[in-house]
Amino acid sequence: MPGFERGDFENPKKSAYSVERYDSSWELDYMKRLERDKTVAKWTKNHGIAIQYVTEAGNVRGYHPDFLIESRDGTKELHEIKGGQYLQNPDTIRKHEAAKNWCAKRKMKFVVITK
Amino acid sequence: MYYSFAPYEQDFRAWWQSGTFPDVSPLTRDFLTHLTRKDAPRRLWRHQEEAVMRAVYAYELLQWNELLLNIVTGGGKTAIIGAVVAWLKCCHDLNKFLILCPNTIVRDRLEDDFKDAKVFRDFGFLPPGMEHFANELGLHVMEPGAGPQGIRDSGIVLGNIQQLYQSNISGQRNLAVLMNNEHRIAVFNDEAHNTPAAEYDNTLFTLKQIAKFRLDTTATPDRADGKAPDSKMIFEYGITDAQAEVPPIIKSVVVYQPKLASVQLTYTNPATGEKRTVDEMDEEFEKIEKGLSSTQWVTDPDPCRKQIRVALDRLQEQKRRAKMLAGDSYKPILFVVAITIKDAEQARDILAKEFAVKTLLVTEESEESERKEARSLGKADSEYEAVVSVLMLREGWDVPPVSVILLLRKFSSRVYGQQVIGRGLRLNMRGEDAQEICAIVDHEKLKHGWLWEMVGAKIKTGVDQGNLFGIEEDLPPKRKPQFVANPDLLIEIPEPTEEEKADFDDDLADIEVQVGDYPKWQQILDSFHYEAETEITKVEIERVEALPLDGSKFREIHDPPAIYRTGRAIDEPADPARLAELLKNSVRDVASDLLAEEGIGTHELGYLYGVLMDHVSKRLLGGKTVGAASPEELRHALNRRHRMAGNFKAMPGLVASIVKYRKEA
Repeated sequence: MPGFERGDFENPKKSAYSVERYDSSWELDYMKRLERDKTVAKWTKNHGIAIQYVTEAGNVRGYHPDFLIESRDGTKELHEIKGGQYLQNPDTIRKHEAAKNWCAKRKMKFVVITK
Repeated sequence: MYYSFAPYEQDFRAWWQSGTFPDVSPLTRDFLTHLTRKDAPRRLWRHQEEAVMRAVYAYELLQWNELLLNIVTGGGKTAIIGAVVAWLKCCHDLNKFLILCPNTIVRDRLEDDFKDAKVFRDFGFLPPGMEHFANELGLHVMEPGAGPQGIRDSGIVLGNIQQLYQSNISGQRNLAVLMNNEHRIAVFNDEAHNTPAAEYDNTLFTLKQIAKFRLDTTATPDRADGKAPDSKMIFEYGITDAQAEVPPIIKSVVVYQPKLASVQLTYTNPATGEKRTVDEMDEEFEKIEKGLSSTQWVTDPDPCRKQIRVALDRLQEQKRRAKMLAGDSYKPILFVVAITIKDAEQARDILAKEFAVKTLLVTEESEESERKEARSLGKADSEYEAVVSVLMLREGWDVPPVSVILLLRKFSSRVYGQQVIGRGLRLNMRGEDAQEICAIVDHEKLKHGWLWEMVGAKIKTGVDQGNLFGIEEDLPPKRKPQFVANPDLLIEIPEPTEEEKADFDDDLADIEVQVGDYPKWQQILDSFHYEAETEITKVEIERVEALPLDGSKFREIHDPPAIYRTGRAIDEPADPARLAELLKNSVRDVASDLLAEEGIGTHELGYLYGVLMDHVSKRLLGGKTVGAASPEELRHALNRRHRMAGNFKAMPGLVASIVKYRKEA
């Protein structure tokens, strides 16, 4: 039975914020993983990035990627957590393309994480 | 709806968080400093302040003057409007503020807040030395019988947008008074775009000549007809944002669905005696919602009664919550949303006669006194415990004690679904410990999953009549406040190395000019190609490797789950009847989606569905009908539905042509 999977990840060691908010159990798992991952220096979900993309129907919308991450070596990445069944959705593909371009212009990397 | 503000998001945040508001006029800077002072008599919520800041930023720095705030119901839009009025009055020398709304219910609420400059005084919006402006912000309400003189004399003019329509005498007169006497006004639309299109557009178009500034506020920017206002969206603050605040500023949603086997939804057309199951009602629900069907479908008494029982269980729980958590400071109300007036009448009768629940019925046929009654529901002197309506009670009807909503109807459009659920989201309790839910009684067969995802609901399935849950059990988890605890760990977002396009107007223009006219569309359809692709039909897993997350290089090797050891066919089910049903449903979804995108009404759904099914059997099933195809063929077709939708979408105008050059049946 799906419950409220939203919650607060408290006192993260690598985030600037007192809590990081998750909206699914996947996001929570990923937060735990980022905390353990030795290559990761900083991360947050509370980054306020909105990337414009054009939907299949021709509407412009804002896309808010999940995680902003800074590695120990200073590289920065956006990570999106996505269920495999959604990856072929045409608007998802467009979002991800827009995010790749957005990142490329900032010498960042866009990574889709799936389970 | 177009989110215009995205490219300016980072710059705006930096500007706002600086606290010094660079690049705006000195007057505005002083005003914003005053607005954000810590000792205001009443402080704005963080998101209200953000909304005002965005409006200021968009107007002064981006020079946009037609703006839209997408703010959840219960998000305090009135105070935002009040603050923006104060800013324009104090800093931009605007002296006439026109506030438009869609109906009398919204108008009454705005009237309460703007009467005698109440909102300005409550929040202390006017800076020292400018307090006297309150005298110039008197209120005139445009309503039948009110003379036009008030429009000239008062700083704030409030009314239903119909009061400016050219189709009625007083509308012509009101608009003329404005146009002839004013040259610089600000226009505020509070949900007003949800009124019928043509007259609304005309009125706003006329007002553009004198409006120096316009702010639209709405919880649902996309109109039911698929169009959106022409203003620029500068803020999106949705249900889940408001629920994540500490403390939350609206209720969380918990959905209760009965066991499928125990409640079977069936319906009767009382005029003909025709019976239908819920699976056969999809199209009919959509037509009813669009006003294209006048059939008075009624939920059969047995399922209706059962759903009411489940809802009354929830009402009992909510009463316990009101008692234990809020000291009985409010009286929970059950809100039943029926399919048709006849359906509503039946629900009222069952509630009143069989369950002895005092129930109010509010429909288009109701008297004004009953509508008035709907507004005082939940107050100590109201005798009602339940209210039944069709779609009358939507935006503007804000009764926080609405604690349980029973959905007898299925929503097809996002707009109506959100509007109705929005009625149950205003909080009764305030303060740090406020934790409230709105309980929704739904049915799996109504397929509202999309709606529950939008409102971040918790879903409980298999709920039986008589199941009572503990008052704490379904409350949302308490959230901790989020603040910067360790500034060293903030991540700076790099500036782009090359210039980014400010907006997508060019791209969009390109998309629009390519709309084609295809009289010979059948030939085009027949040329669509669906290549044979490798399909994975069976999976066998030898071993499972676990990759530890601590950065070490070791992997753990596990045995695979037993079912995968000998090869397991994927893509169940194999039952041809079930597959055929899945295929038909997905083709119907594709058809409905294509119509929506081309802006064609669902009255063409049956026709387009026929064309698509014909296409499927020709191009994907080797000429066989769905009934005659094998499970493999059906699965093959099913797997290509996105591709099929993509083929049609790739040629704008194709669907319109299919409808225009109609194929004879």
